[in-house]
Amino acid sequence: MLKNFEIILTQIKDEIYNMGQKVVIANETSLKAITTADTKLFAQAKSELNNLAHTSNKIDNLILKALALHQPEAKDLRAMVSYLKITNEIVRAGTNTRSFIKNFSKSLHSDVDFDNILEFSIPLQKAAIDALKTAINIVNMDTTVSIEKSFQKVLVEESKTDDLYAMIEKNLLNKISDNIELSKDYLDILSSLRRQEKIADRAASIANLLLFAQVGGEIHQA
Amino acid sequence: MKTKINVQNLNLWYGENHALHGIDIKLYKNKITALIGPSGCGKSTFLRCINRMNDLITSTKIDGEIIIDEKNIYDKDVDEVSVRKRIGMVFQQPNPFPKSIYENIAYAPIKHGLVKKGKVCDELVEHSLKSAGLWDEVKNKLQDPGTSLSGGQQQRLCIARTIAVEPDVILMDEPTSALDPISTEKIEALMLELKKKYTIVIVTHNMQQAARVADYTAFFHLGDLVEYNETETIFVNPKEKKTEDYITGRFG
Repeated sequence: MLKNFEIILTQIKDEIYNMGQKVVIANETSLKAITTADTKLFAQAKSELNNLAHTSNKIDNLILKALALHQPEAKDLRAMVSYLKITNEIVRAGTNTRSFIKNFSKSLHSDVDFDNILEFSIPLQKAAIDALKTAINIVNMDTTVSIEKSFQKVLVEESKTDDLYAMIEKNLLNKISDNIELSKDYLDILSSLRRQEKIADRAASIANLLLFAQVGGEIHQA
Repeated sequence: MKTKINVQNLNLWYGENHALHGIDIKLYKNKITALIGPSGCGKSTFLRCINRMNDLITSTKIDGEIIIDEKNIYDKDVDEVSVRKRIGMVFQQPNPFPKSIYENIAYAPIKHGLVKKGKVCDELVEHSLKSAGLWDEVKNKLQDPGTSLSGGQQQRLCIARTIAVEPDVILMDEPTSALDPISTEKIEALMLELKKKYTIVIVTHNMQQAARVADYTAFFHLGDLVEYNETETIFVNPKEKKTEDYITGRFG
């Protein structure tokens, strides 16, 4: 592999890792905002997501350049195609994060019973963050064993978010039936928490693409 | 970015055949420029103009200017041998002299009076072979014939021989077309190292090679310079339809 291809490949990996880290930090900050009841942190979390689309475009153009100039084959080709899709997945995870922050922070001012909701929503958020963090860390891994291990961990965390979300949904639907006046508030909370579950889905897709880049096979959308 | 070679309105005729039509191009210092185009488009002819190799063909007529470091190399007071010393050339087929590996490197520097036989010459041979990435492979057999090396090694020997006279510019005319992929990659990696010190101009039919190694690419067609730009622009967003058709294999 020529040195100039290695340079561009490293640059792409670094940019993707940094882009993913921003979404992870945004989620960690919003979790801190909720657990410490410090709503100012929501703005800080949102600011992490600035320029995400711009970064994605920059990486996509780097990938286009690498494809055009170096015609990568086999593992390198799989990596390039995966990275091209991963930037899109990170943007989607960022959009879900922004939407969660916006709607959940609004809901904090409503009359709903938050203690009960947080009992499940915090573990949901933690699982989504763990899934995303683990998936993004795979970018810097180079052995099949470590990538497969992390991939399994992402699947476990993603599965947790599915279960936790189902429990929250059941719980909130019961609350709506008990207090119909607050139904809109509860549905808004449910909708914002659904974003966390979607973030974990994006993490699973990222991990799946990185595993494909390493071991090959057929590409498929997770 | 500093211009190393400034070509202005260069025309060349082989007898009645007008082979190059008013070429204007600036080639930049410490960059690799690839010349691409179909056979007969004038890219090798243009390359050979840069070190006045076409002067050796009697029916050739050239006008225009090739200014290297502010001096037109076609001025009457310029000696073509001194031009060829400053502008080295590597050919398609490796062509080592029928001499030892050591003598292949030492011959020209001694002939040009750059060094005398002895320790300084030994150091020059070692330095040149190291620069060409060949030292480790030949350091224990410097007295073996140059022709005993593999094709890829012979081509690197020729590059080492070119480097030994300390040129400013290295011209390469399809330097890897006779080599296997592994030797090709070694030469390409070597080119990327050499550009730190030299300005390189390469003619290649291998579009992927131009894309991989060149900073700038010039597309020639029927003696015209159709498009010249950064390699990324040529391969991602060419401005001319002819260029796009050629690099996408739709030419014809």
